Amino acid sequence: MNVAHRGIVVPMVTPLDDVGKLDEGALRWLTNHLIDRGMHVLFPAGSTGEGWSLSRQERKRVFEIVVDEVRGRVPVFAGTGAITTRETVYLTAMAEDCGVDAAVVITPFYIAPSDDELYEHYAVLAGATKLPIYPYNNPHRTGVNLSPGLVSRLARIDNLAGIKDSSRDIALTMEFIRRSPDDFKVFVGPDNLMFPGLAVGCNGAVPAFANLAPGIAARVYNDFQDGDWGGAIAAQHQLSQLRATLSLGTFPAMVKEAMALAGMPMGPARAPVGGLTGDSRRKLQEVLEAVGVL
Amino acid sequence: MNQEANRGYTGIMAPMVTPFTEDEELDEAALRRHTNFLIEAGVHMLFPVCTTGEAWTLTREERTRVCEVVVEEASGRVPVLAGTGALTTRTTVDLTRDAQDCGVDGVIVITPYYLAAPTDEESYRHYVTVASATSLPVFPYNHPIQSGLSMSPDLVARLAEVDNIVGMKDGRELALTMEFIRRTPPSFVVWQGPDNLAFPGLVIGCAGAIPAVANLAPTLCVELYQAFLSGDWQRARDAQEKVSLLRNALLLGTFPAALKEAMRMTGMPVGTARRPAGALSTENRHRLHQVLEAVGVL
Repeated sequence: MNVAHRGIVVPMVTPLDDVGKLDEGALRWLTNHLIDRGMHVLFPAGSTGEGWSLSRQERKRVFEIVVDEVRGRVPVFAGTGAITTRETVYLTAMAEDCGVDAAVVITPFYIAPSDDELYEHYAVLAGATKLPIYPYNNPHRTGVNLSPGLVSRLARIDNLAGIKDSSRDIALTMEFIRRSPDDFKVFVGPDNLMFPGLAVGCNGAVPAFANLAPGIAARVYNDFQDGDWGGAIAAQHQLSQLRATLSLGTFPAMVKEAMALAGMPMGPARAPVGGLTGDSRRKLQEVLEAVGVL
Repeated sequence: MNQEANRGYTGIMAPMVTPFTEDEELDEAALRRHTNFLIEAGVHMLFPVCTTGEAWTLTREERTRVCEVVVEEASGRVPVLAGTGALTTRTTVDLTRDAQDCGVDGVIVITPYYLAAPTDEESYRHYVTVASATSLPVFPYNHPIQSGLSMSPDLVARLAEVDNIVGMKDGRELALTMEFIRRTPPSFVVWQGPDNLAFPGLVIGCAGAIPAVANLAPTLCVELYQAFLSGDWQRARDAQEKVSLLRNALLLGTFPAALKEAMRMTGMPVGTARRPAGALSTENRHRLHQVLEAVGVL
């Protein structure tokens, strides 16, 4: 059993059926598929999992199913962030009851809290749960960017275990690493910075396209661990080409479309996110063929 | 990786400060001292008339004089690459020819900035025109934060096909740098600009780094590069941490005022930055001093 909080954290897509309801069978299949492919941590209800589109009940069901199917083989990180502290505490308590191993908590979005308010937000949350908490920094989506000063303050809270950083700014990621204790875990967000993130000392990465191509993500990680940097960079280039398909539609529609093309139908993304146009789908198919996923 | 293919343009390039006297005139003696100091400390390339060197404050005659002095003092020991970018193609061509006449080994050409926001096609013609006006190797310089313009991977891939466009300087966004590397031949040189990305840049296959901190702590930057080359990543990361701390301290004044103040503190006076950049506040000078001590430069 591998319980370490490190390695490839897969932000799982949330499979939906034709009428847009949670597809429990596909979610169970995906859970096993990713574990079988050597992924180290599963992370349901994150951005890739359209966490924002799930009702409380749906989110709970997703956690229950993944925990049930994992049966302790890998840690499960639950996405539990919301705009208010109150809702974030509620969702985190719910996830804890479902038996997850940690919570990944996006900063409040839409509003623009001060550093002190953000500190209070995470301090209150950490005090309300026994779970390890990983704040999640994604300034391009949220409009909120965690500062190194704030993160070093947060790192002193007992169960503030680390951070997921999708700032796309490796210099900032390095500041987070430098300004926090050695046991504070830093996970790098976007697929196209996985290898550089590992090289600067991150404990793991959270690549969305690990849903589609866990083998490519595993090559980046394993080759890096083995010191085969040429191999890791070659795999990183493949992963980056997949990530570049984000321009073909509204995230995460292209991830789900790509999985359908690769024979792993996960259903559509929830509206207003729409499907890809015919032209975009052809381009997506070309990229999948170029990197050998098809 | 590129380190093999690009011998000659690898390692640490120092973007040189331009020393001024008290009345803001070019201080040629200090420039000669600084050139020797950097070469003796082991930096691999010199880059006068750059952002760190307050290029935008220099007249055409001053730019020429800076290049002449550095080329003469370097006397072939390391390559000298001069900054010659300007807002218009016409001026860029003139400055490039000036630099060539001074005997520099290549030119680094920032994308047009401020007024101009050219299309990819216009940028392509800009660089092709400059490249055809000189026999020197030409290195486009992508610096979106300063110039407001970012080169696209498609544009860079096309430019890489031009004979004497042999590489580029990039800044800030590592995923984009990787894309430039992926889309160009292995012989195409990509340097990473910002101090705090020197190590990550080398790791993803950049041929070298161009840290402003090299003016102040050249041996630290060379140590970072050598540690990387020898595969000792932990030592390289430790050096990067110090470089990043110094780089953060350079933000204590209007760039490059804090760098010049730090050089004064460490016994290498190069004057102050040209106005409107002003002196550091007493409090910031104190903080700068603390950082220099903490990193071991003082």
